[in-house]
Amino acid sequence: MNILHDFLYTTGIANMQPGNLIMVGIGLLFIGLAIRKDYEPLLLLPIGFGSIVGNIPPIAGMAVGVYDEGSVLNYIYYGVSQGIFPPLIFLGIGAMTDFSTMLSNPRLVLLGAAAQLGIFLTLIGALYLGFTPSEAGAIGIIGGADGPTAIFLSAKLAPHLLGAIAIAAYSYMALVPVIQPPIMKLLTTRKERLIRMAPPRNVSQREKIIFPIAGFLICALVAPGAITLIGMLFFGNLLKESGVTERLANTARTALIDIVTILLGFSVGCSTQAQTFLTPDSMAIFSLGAASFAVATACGVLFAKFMNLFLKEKINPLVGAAGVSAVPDSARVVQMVGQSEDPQNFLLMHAMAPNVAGVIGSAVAAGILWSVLVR
Amino acid sequence: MFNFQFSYQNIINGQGFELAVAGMIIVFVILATISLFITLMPKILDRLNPYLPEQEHYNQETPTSEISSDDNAAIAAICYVFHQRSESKK
Repeated sequence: MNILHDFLYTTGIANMQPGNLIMVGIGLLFIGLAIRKDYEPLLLLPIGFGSIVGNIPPIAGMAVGVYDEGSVLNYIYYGVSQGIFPPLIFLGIGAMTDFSTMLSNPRLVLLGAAAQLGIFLTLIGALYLGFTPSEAGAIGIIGGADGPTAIFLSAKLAPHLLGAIAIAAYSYMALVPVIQPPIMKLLTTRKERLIRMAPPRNVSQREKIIFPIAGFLICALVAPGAITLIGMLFFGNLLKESGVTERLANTARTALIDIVTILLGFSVGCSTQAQTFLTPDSMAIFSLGAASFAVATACGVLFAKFMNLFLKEKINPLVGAAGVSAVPDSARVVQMVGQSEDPQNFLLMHAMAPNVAGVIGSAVAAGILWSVLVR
Repeated sequence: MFNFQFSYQNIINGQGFELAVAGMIIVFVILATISLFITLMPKILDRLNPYLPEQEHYNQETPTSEISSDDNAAIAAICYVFHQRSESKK
C-alpha cells in the first residue's frame, strides 16, 4: 500500500499548482488560436503544446523538465539557451526571402530602419521600470517583431527572461493583424491610404547575387555583433540566388527550418513553467512588448509620411507599418488595410521591401545591443 | 523576484538615452548605406558590363537529350533487325 501511496504522491495531479493550470490554459489558448484563427500556427502550436508539457509538475529527483540537467528536454533547450536555433532559422528565412522588391525600390529600406525605433524606446521604458540595462535590451528587442532575434538576444543578455520574452514576441507576432490596423488607420488619412505606387522594376540576377554579399559586408563591418544573424540570413539568400546550390537552398528553406522551428517552439513552450514564468516581471515584459509593437508600427507609418514631404512619387504610408520585421504578416496586413479602402490597390509587393529591411534592421539592432550591453 | 522601481534616474544610470540615440543612428546609417548601394548598383553594373556580362541562366541545367517518338521507332526497328539476325544465325 505504501508503494501505491508514494506513487500517488508523485503524480502530476497531486503536485499541480494553480499557476501550472493557468499555463496549461494558456497553452490550450495558443493551440486554439493556431488551429481556429490560423495565427502563426507553425509557432503557436509547438509553443502551446510545449507549455502544456512544461507545466506538468516533475517528479522530485527525476530529470524530466526543461531546466533539469541531463533531461532530454534540457538537451533540446540547449539550442535555445545557447542561441543556436535562431541563426539556423535565419538561414532558412534567407533562403526563402526574395529581396527583389527591396532592390527595385531602395528608398523603402529606410522604413525598415524607422520601425526599429520601437526597440530603443522600449529599452528606455524597461529601464524606467527598473530592469537592468541587459534585461532592458533583451526586452526592447521584442519591438523588432522578430521571434528568433528576440530569443537570440535574450539568450545572450538575460537568459532568465528568455521564456517570457519569447512568448511575448511570438504572441504579438501572431497578433499583428489585430494590433497594427487600428494604429495604421489612426495615423493616416483616407487620401493617403488610397495612394497607388508604381510597380517595382525588374531586378537582374546579378544584382540579386551581389546584394547578399555586399549587404553582409556593410552590416558586419559597422556592427560586428550582428554577424551571426545577418551572416546566416545573407548566406541563405546567396544559396537561393546563386542558382548553383539549389539543393542546399531547398534544404535550408524546407527541412532545416522546419526541424529547427519544431525544436525551438516546443522547447520554448516547455520553458514556461509557472514557477518561473508567472511573475510580475513577465507581466511587465508583456506590457512593454505590446507598447513596443505599437510604437514600431507608428514610427514606420509616420516616417513614410515624413518621407512624402520630400518625394515626388509618394509612398503609401501604410507601407511603413511593414517596417516591423514580422515577415510576411505585417506586409499582408498592409495589403489588407490598403484593399479595404481600394480593392484595386496592390501594396503587398511594396510592403515586402520595408518588411525584409526590417529583418535586417532588427538583427543589426540586436547586434548593437549585444555588443554594448554584454560588457 | 523583480521589484518595480519606477524612476527617471534608472534611465540616466543605464545610459538609456545615449544607447537609444546611438543605436538608432547606427541602424539608420547601415540601412541608408544599403539603400545607397542598391541605388548605385545598376549604374556600377552597367560600367562593369564589358568585364562582367550578365549571364542569362545561372541555374541552367545540363540539357538532357530528349527522345522523340521518331527516335523510339528507329530504335525499335534497329533492335528488331538485330533480333532477326541473331535468330537466323541459330
